[in-house]
Amino acid sequence: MFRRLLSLTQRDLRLITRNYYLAIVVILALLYALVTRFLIPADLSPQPAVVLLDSTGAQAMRQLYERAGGGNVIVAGSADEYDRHLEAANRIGIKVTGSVMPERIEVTYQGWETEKTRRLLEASLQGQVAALTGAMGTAFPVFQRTVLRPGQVAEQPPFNLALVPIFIFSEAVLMGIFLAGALLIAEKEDRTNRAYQVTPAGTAEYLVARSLAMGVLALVFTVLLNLLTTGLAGNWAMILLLVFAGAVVTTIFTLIYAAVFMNLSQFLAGSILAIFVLSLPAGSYFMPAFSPVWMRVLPSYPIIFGLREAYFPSGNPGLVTTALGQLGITALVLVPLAMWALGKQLRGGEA
Amino acid sequence: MIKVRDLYFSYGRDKNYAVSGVSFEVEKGEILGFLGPNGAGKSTMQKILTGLLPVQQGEVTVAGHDMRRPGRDLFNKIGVSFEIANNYHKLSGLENLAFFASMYEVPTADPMALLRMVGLEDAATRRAGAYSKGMSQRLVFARSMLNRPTIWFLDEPTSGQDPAMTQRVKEIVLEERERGVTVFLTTHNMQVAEDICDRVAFINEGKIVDLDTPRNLKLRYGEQFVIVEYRDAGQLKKQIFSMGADKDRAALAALVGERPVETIHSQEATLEEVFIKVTGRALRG
Repeated sequence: MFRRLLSLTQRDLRLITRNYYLAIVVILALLYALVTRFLIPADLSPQPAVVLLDSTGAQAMRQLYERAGGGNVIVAGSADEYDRHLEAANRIGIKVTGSVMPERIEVTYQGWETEKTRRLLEASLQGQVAALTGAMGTAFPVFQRTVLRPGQVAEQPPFNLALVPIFIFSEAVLMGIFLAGALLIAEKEDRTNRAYQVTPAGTAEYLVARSLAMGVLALVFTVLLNLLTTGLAGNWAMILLLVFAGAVVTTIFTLIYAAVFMNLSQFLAGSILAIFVLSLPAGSYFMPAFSPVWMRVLPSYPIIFGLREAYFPSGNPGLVTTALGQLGITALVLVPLAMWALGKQLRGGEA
Repeated sequence: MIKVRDLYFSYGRDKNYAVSGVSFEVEKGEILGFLGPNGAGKSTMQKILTGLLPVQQGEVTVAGHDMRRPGRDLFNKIGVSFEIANNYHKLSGLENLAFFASMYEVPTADPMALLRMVGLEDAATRRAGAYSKGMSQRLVFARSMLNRPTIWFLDEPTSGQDPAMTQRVKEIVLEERERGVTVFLTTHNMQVAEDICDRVAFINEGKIVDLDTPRNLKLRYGEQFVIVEYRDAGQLKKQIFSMGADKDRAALAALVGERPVETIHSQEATLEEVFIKVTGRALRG
């Protein structure tokens, strides 16, 4: 049994290598790394609106902002109005106090802003105030930072690196659909499935070996892309485990639905639909508020969120274990179906 | 070793049978030729016997295994050579054989020795995708011997082979028969069947129309002739006499007494002629 499994895996790895699948995976990993590091900006955060309350006698800051004519500045007339405007989650407050000129400036954040965003805003503000106080010959005001909901929202990773889990999901995990399917259809077309069927080896060994080979291929992609982008950051053990489990489940899934296709072109057309459906949870990745039930039951959903947690821990490791658990349950459901479908495919679909 | 009783098979699971009411047995160490034109049901029969198609109706036993539920151990005992070469194109000939050898749970033959046996030793490390049709077929033939089968299913084993290799294949089959191997040979090459088969079954439109030794079939359906070359007024002449007709036999006796006969050749019907006579169909097509 073990010898057969080893031989089958070795065969699959040879076929993967000699069909240039490995080369494609390596090239893709390098391309994704280049795109991540050099083409996608690290920060794509939208500029939040600024709510300004200037209660100094000279109203110098208010005049400054009004002259600048910034479309994203809301000038509050009172403290109540200021507080009301700050109830919206995408607003940052600037409260300027002093008898005539600014003596104290309080910047109020919602809590979701990155430290980099905060520092950039404060530096810009200090520049404006310095110009103002220098011209008026007054002292530089006191700066104070207030965070409305500290710790409620985790530190956001740079935008380009935040895409890495999505790249890993789409290539390392979903590539199993194309590659496992292509290998299977090739076996159908060149009838090697029949040669296999007249040996004592069974469908279980075939399924395990094919899943292992696809898992290894997914790991190669993940390791390469990780090293070139996120480096040693994140929980590598969990990342690799999730990628491997995800690749295995998508391979099992593919071996089931590939049963209905007799040639590669039919299979590729069908795979586009499968990949479209399985990729839908990527939308929730960028808009977590959009997570309908039908999307959460897709096997790809927990993989995507598990990967995000493994890459950028938010103190909720349950996301990874939940993902692994859901993948395990999915595998338990899919394996009997795969065994049945694979048995049929290995006989050339004639039984 | 192989027992088939009243077997029916329909691809559409309707009354359109590819195999219809077939019964036969193959003894240990016997070579049974299954002969018929394309579409006669030969390959369907072999697929059922090798577990690639299910037994729908009837009884099939191979090496003691009921083919309704054969169990994987059956495949340690049988070898199957397919008509259409089905090798992994991206693996070398040697890798192909080594891979399949590792699938068995019984001692297997040395892949290199098998490649040598079929004349592929020089191409052992070349990818199977670069093999010619004949080489690919020989690789399939070699693969079917990996587990030293006791029952050997051969589907057109000489397809695409030159005369020398065809002869070599026939020799190997006969050597295996001497070892006690039972052979189920599917072919429409009558010469191969005639040369190596102990018995042949004629199959047509899914039915066995006759099953016997080649000699008995030819005696039963074929007509024996004698071709005589003789001199008549200095000219060489040729005449054919049927041994089944009294008139021809008398004419032959008279000719031998009256003319200087130079050659006499007896000629019997070929299996192909017998097949056409029995089924009304030619073997190819």
